Amino acid sequence: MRQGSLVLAAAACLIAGCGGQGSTSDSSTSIDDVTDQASLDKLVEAAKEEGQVVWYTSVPSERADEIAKMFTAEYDIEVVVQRSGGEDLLQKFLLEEEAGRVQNDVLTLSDPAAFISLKQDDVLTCFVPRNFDSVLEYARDDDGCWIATRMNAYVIAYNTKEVTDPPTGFDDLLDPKFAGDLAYINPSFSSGSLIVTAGLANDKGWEWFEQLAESKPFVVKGNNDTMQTVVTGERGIATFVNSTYVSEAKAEGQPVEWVFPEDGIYLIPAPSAVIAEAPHPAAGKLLADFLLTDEVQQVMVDDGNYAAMEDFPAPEGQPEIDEMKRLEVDYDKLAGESKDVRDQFSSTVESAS
Amino acid sequence: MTTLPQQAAGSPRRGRWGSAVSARLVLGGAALILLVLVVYPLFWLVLGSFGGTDELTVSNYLRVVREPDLYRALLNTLLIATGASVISLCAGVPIAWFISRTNIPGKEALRTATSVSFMIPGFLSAIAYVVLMAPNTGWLNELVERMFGLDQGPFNIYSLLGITAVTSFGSVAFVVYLATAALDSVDSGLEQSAQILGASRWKVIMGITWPLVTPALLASTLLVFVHSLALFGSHAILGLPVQIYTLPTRIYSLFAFPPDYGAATALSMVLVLLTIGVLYLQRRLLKRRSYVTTEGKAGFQAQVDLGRYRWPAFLACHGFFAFAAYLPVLVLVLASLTKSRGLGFGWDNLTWANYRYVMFEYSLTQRATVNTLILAVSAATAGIVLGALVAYINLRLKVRGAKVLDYLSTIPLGLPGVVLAVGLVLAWIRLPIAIYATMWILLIAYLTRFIPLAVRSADSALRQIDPSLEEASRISGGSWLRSIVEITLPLMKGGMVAGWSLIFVQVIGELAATILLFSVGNETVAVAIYQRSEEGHLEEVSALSVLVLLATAVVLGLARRLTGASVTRW
Amino acid sequence: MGTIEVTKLTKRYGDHNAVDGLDLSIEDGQFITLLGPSGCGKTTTLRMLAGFIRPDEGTITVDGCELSSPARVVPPEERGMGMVFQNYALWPHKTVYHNVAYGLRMQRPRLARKEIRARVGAMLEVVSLPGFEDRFPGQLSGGQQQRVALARSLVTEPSILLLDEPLSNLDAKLRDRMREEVQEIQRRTDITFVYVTHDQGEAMSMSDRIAVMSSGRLEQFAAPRQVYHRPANVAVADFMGLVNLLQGRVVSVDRPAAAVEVVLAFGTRLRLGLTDGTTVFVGDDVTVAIRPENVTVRRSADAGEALVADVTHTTMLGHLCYYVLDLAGTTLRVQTASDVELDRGDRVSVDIDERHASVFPAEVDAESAIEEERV
Repeated sequence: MRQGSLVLAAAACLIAGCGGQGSTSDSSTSIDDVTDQASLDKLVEAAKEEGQVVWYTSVPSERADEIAKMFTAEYDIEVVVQRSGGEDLLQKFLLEEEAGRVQNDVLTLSDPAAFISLKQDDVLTCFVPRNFDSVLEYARDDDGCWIATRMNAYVIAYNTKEVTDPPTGFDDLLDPKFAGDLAYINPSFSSGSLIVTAGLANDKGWEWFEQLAESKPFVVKGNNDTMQTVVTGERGIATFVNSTYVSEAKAEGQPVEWVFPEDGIYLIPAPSAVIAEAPHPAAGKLLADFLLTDEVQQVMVDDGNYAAMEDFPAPEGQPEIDEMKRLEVDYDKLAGESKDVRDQFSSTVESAS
Repeated sequence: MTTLPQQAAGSPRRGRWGSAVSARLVLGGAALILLVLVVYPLFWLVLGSFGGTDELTVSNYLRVVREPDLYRALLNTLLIATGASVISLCAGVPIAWFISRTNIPGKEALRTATSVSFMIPGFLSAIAYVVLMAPNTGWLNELVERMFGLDQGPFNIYSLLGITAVTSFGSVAFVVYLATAALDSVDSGLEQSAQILGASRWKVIMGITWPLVTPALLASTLLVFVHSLALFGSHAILGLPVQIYTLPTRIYSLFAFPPDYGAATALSMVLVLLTIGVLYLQRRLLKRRSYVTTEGKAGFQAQVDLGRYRWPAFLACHGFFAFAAYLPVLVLVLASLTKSRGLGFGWDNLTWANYRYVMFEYSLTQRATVNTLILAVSAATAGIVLGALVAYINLRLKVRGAKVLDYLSTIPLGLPGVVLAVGLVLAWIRLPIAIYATMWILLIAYLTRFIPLAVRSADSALRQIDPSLEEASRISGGSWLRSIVEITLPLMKGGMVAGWSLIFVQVIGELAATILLFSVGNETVAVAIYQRSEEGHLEEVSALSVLVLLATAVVLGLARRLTGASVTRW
Repeated sequence: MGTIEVTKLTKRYGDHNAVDGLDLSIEDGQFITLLGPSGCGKTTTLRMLAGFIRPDEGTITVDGCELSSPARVVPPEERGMGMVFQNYALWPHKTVYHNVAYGLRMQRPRLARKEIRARVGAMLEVVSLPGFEDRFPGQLSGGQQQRVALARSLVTEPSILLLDEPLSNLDAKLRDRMREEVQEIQRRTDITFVYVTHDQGEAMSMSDRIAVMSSGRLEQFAAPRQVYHRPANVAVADFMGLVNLLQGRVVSVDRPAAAVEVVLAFGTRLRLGLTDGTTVFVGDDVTVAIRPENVTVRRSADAGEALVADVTHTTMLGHLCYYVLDLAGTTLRVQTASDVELDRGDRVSVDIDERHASVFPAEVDAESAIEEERV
């Protein structure tokens, strides 16, 4: 009888999820930043008590799984990876947040403007990880509310079978000889395109788009569609596309090549952030800290992305950051006027059709 | 033969509550479930369109109606939906008639082709058609260019016509399924008596047969039309690149960050109104006549001998399915066997690696397959039972408000998946019980989204069964529930299996709502396919899709065999 | 036992009274027919008897137990009645055996399978369909289906059998045979039959009593002979078969003999018996109903005969002949044996049989009201 009741008690304890002693909340709230080994140890301890971390990420699934495995190997904490397209994920997160039922601890997307809005809405936890100072300074929030995990470079790509005389820069794209041969990503459906579009509108003016409209661009939904369009030769040139997609296509042996525009490169941080109402706050911070370790950053570079931290080499075949002209985008401004940019784009491009 | 005293008429004590209570419980329960499934999330959407909980305003609507783009999108949407309905009817009705009533060769093949055309998810079919009919690189265009030495092939899938055609390919099965089920249940004695009276065969078809299956045709037209209103995947792939916007693509763009839920939900209400309007029209048309055909003095099914038109009819049907099913599947199969599409065809570009990857290496495949099977079977089964009960309430009970149920049960079909998903999240995430982030939210989502298919299928099946068949059971001593189970449901079998199949297939391909609602551990096959396609692995996507198509075909075949729906003796 | 008492039964659909204050009392073991044009409320009445429809007013009592009232309706399956439907309502997915056995399977306490088999077999003998057990309804002829429907409704040995125009879907010859069979079965089983039809021939040939209905009301409830020869009113007279409705005026009343003298429009004087409950006064306008067979015609131009008419139309029916006559501007329909040969244009003398003519107070537009009813 006694044995039986002990088993019952243990089962009840399991179901209730009670740990050995004390609760997890007091230890996690006290950790704001990880500055030294002691604070890291404390964070690890709290995270282990939580036992799990939920990661919403738009990093490609193989990469995300790889990073999750590395994290579990390091800290023995389970990572639940919810991988999806950036726009879908953001929408899911916003709905959950709105309903007060946040499911995830860490959010990784490729839209800095969105994170600026999220910070303004007090949805994010500000947290300074160990390697905060090594992160490129234009790729992090000063308070640590969001920090880039990787950098996306947007480049021109073309089909080598279709195009023998590729464009060299943004103005060159408008050359009438490329008319009917351009693919453009719709800023209404892609945050990356929205940022590049805002940047181009700022740097080149909307007149550039008026001329673009003359050549009847093929306005596709995302990076992937652009690459499909160019790889098959339906259109010869991607006006811009995330360089990782090009490097993957090249690795597969597809007839594509990239051009790093002479005007410069839009190098866009893809940030991660810990959520304020995270169900596993300590484990979330630990994962955010882990994303900025050398091992993870190397995974990003191997995948064709630029690292978010300094002193990492450029991904294979792409120019080093200090060798390129980096085009700036005012994300704070964009955070407030993204709808205007989209509307302006569609009215400009559609008016020509 | 004398009367038995205990059977005397005036002994009402036996089971005084039984029948009335069970009827009320079952039907009331069904009505309640429908209300919870549909009205509860719809309430959140409508609330959202009026500015949410804080203050009510019509500003969202004003914003939406002032947008000039709305009218172009509305026009495009209507053109596509109308065109798809017309094509589906013109192709689906003859095919259904050939299958049900004639000696056309290879009926099973036609049934299978119908199912296949329906099983290909919209976005895959659109991708396949890009491969086939993209203006510069489409295979068919290149074929024609080579054959006739042209510079530019004739096909352009990126056009209103292209979108309409692809849409209709995915919805012709609505017509074929429902019309076949209806034709199978029409007593051909009715046709023959007209023939004896001297009507020509053509006149019989036009004068007797078609009027009798009108409810099924109207129901399927309604399904095609409303279904086409809310499609996103194929419209986005084929329309957006050339600035052909539809209401769903406009609505989707409003969900981009920062999402404008107010305008998106307000715009969705246009689709809700359209759905209600079309259903109202259908009801008006049905009202003019009573179409009961299975009266219980059932005759038999005679087959029309097509004579020398057998093979031309065969060719015409399969010619249509060449576009609606065979070519897209061919593209998927070829793509699934190639290493990389950009490399062209050749032996050195052939591989089984994609299949190996999706079957054994892709971590999602197994889990997603099991989840999808569980979800699709339970959603289809629960859905068709619920749909049958709702149709019963609407058609057989003279209850106030039954019509409202009928309308409510159709609205979800006209809502784009993402809008419905937002409504569902808002509705179900708040509950203290764990529904969100479990399989339950997906089951609820599928039930909500596809209950229209169940109700419409059951409705058209029930319309063709004379109420006296059930009354005969009651007066013979069978309780209400017993009568439903023994008489009405078995007679609705054809329509029920059709509805079950419709839901089953749609659940497997459902993506728009799933993508917002799935969580780790309860991914579906559609999610698995989407994730791979989103990361650009079209070859693996094709392999996975081909496997899913095969599995779906097997399940549908089993369902038909098990229920004997196609060999029912009337 | 199958005594039915219907009291003030009313059913409304919108503002239309389908059944309007119907009182009817049916004795055990009788063959009763509800007769009337379509829309008269007879089917609604039958369906209320079966328990499919809840009355808005009034009650239905069977053997002293109240089965239907606005407050409570005993569901059909608990009434122990049988019903034969106009369309037979055979279940197409069940064999003949299972169609017939269904009612027995539903009985509680359960019947042994053996007993069910025996009773179904016996029942199929009664309807002359032994050996048809495994057929499906779709494989039977119309008459056979009709018999299966009868067997199904009788196998549970109900005390009351409701029949809703069960013969209307059969061809004329089959209908005559089934008519006899139904009557035969009723006589043998002693079950109370409530039979709905719009065919007055069917009603008269089978029924013990006929309830003539129109506009939801009971017009007359009496034996067939009486309904035919002594109709309660113009509507009944008109519905029970072809009838001449002639306008006239009362010239004298003989109350003790319950008789009146009437002058018809064309001048003829008739002495007619009054139906129970009819009161007329001297000078009243009346309608006189005369059946075609109660008018005799002779080919004769004998001067001095009271009535002379011209033949305007002839119809030969084999054993009978119908003639339409023009009698000084009034149309008169006449029926004779077929050996009386008349041709169009013949001049004939006419004799009206006063004993079988009925007189009713003239109703405004009585005839057109009936016509509308039929539409």
